[in-house]
Amino acid sequence: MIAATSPLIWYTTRASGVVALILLTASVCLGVLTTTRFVTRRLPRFAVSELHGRISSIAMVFVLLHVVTAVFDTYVPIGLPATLVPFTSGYRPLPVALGTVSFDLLLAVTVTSILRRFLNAKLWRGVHWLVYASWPIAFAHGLLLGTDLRFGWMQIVSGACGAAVLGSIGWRLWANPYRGGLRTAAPQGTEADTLPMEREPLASLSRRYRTVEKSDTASDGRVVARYTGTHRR
Amino acid sequence: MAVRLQVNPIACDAFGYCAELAPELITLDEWGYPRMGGQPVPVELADSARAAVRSCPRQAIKLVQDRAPSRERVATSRPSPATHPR
Amino acid sequence: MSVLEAPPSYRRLLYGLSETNTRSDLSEHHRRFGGCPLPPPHHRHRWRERFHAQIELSGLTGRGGAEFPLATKLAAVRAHRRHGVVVVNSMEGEPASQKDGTLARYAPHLVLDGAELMAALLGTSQIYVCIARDQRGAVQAYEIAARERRQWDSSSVEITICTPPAHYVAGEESALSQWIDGGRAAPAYRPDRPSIPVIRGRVALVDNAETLANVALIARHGSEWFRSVGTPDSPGTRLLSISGAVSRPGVYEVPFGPTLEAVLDHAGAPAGGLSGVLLGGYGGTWLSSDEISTPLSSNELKKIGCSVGAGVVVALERGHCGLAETARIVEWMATQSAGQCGPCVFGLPAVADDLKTIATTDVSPAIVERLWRRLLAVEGRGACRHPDGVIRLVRSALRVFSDDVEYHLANGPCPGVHRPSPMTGISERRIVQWR
Repeated sequence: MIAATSPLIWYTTRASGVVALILLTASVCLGVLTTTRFVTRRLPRFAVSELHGRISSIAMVFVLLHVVTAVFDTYVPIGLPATLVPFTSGYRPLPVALGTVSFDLLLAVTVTSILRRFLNAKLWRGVHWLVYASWPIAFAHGLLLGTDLRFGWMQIVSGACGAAVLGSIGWRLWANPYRGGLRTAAPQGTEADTLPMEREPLASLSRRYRTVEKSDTASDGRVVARYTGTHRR
Repeated sequence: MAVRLQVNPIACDAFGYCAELAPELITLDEWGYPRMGGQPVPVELADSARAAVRSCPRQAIKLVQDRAPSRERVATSRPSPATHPR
Repeated sequence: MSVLEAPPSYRRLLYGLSETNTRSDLSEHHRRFGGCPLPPPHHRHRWRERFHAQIELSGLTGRGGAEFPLATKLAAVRAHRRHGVVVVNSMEGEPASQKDGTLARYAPHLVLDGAELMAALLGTSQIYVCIARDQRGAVQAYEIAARERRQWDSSSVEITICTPPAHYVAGEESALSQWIDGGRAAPAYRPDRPSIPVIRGRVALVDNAETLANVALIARHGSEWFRSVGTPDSPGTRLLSISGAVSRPGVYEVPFGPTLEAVLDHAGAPAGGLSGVLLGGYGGTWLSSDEISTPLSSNELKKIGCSVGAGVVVALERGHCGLAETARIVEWMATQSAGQCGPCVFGLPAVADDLKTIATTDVSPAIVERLWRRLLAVEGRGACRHPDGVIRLVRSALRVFSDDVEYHLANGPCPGVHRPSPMTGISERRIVQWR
């Protein structure tokens, strides 16, 4: 078993942790972006999705590097079980456990994505949503354990990553033009089937374009619930 | 051995990646949902079709075997005089 | 709405109904029709083949709307290795249809006889009777009937009365089987048609109540008797729910063969003539006032692109606007979408929108052209046949009322737009439920 200590291994752990944080942040932001059907003239929608996938793969490489060097470095007593089982680390159990949990979730996401074509689509999607738990836990792991946080640059990087994820989720929920409404830009190959909006004489059903409004009306006529969303209930 | 593209309309969520990757085979209607004719996929577009199938975030699109008439299946194997259509 | 008898010689399912419209309990049912001719379990082996052959000879087709030959469906289910269950479809999602509710209230034992016979054919004892949740009278009638049967013979079959949500698409085969299995009452995507629905690992034979009532009569009187009325390609009788501009609306038992015009005259068609007739249901087709002289038979109706479907007949009086009525129907049908497929969820309201524009405003030809394009865009792109039925209705409306379309293009809305609509069931708000 290779177990040694050297400043090189220790610095690799710290550096790969920082890079993993940045790449995972980018991955989460891009993932959120795909749900908004984001498209520009140079970047088609499938490209946003592919970028998300490839950056995630690179991020996992750095996560693995971070985990492996942390375990095999004898400078701090983090044993091998701590890669998968939380609270088994000798060194600062809680912050390391956060990293362990986050890594476990990421492993599940990675494995299901590799085996995607053999899995039920809903199962894949359910596991993929675990990322929304994994990223904050990894972020907390970095905040509690980050040896480099005493440096200003690291504080800026952490802050930027936090802001990026919060910002993209906020934009997705409240500000993005897709939001169940008209597509922002049509990709190639759309059938130009409709009249331009200004010339349509009747403004009528808002459910025309993606927002579906259904009201539950109680027997006394009160509207009990009104919900909007995409067509999938 | 003809293959064609088939979409599961319940799973489809109008992401539109398929139409971007295989525009000769798939067009989007005015609401963003894919229309693929029932025609078999030509050989030169098979790669685009496979890319489109792989790219779907909901795995809603598939390549399925056409229920080809039996004489075509015979023609792909060694044709014998008794079974060859001509 | 009162239930009236058909001309006496064709009294089959509605046989024995008097003006007092009493429900038939089990003893009354036996008096009218005799006992259910089901051999005891150890004698059933050869009976099964003979009865299956009887059903095939009779040419009975489904009475729920699809008109699929029952013998073929039965053969497919029987060929399956898994055990089967029988599902009685009395959902009657078509608002203008009353026939299944009528059967439930006045001849539930005939329907249950048919279900028991099918269960015996499949070698199962599991029967589900599905009635829409809001049809309390029918639900109660079937519950009482099931209880009577259990008291009379507790060892036979297990009848479960189910009440799925009252939604148009909930009566679809796969929707029913998914709901019984604990899921949503929404149609499934079944690319390999025809496919057999599965409930809890067992294949399900889903049949309309009227179909099963006919099965019960075939068991008693044979396939020759069944074919003695009707036409060679469409033997037997149909229950038609006739409404609209007739003086005697109601459920009529009508043999195949007479023209729709004759049937409407019997129900009291208006003297001023009709602008059109809706046949089949809200997913059916319009017929023009000339076309109603077509004899009621599936071959003849297929020539003009129509079918009896669910047996709904709505007469539209002259002076009403067929386009406005179609717009109302399509708008309602759009709300009945299961909400699973984009082309249906967005396409049907768009089509309704265009129809409303054509009917009620000064419309331009571009809108009509856009409507035609949208019909092509929606057709066949849903998981179930709900959008297809609506598109077929709209196509038939544009054909039958083509003169009206020309008029609207030239002059704007016609006075008929504001007449009260004869379409039932589309104005009240329903609570949306799926489970």
